[in-house]
Amino acid sequence: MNALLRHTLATRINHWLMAACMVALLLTGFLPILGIKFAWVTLHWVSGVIFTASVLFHIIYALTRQDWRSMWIARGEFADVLSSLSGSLKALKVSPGKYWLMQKIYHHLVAIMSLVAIVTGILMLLKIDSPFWTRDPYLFSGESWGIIYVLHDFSGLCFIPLIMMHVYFAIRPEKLFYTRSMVKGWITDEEYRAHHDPEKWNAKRKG
Amino acid sequence: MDIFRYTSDAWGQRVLEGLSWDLIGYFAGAGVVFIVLHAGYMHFFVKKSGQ
Repeated sequence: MNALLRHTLATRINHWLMAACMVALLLTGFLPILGIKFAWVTLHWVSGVIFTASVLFHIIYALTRQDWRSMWIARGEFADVLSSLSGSLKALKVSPGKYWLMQKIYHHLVAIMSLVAIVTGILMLLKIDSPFWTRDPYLFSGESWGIIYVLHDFSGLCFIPLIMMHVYFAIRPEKLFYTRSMVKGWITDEEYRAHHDPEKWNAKRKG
Repeated sequence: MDIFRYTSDAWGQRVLEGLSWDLIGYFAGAGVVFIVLHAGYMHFFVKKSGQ
């Protein structure tokens, strides 16, 4: 079998770390609201700090060790918004490189919501005591804190359908090879040629 | 259905506290609707051999 590298070990470890943080953040954020009471605050902010570090690593790694243009959306690709949902290469007007249009749109939605959650989460950290600082609830006016909470809540709520969709696509039969590549790192030569344009994504041989 | 949550500050004034948690069901529902529509579309309109 000819295997081609899709995700490096660093990318895979960071992906699953990010996933674990996201699950922890959603559970600690929403279970208390749904009536399951426990000491969630410390778990939530520690998960958020690790998530932030993971996002920072991803940004630096993508900019320095990967081709960030693989996530760039060309204007012509928007004609494929619906046809890309079918997963059929033949239906597309613009052939995909490493990522399909909907994968890129999904990535950008997650990136925006992550940045909103991180920035507002860091500000909210200043309202609780930690070993590193003393709380200051008067840093902003009550109205400003309200806006910060609304943005944090909105990003958290958006992650509910975003994660549901991510898991759904990860377990769809025709997408399982992408999930395998996020575990083992590789896709087969057949999968590469059936789903990607070799001229736009020059995948390297594994090992 | 409320969109926002409010609380009262030390002076009894109404202060914005965040988004209403009633919205959780709507956001989760949006995810379910997308998944059902996509699964139906793939099942009925996309040939399995058309990859």
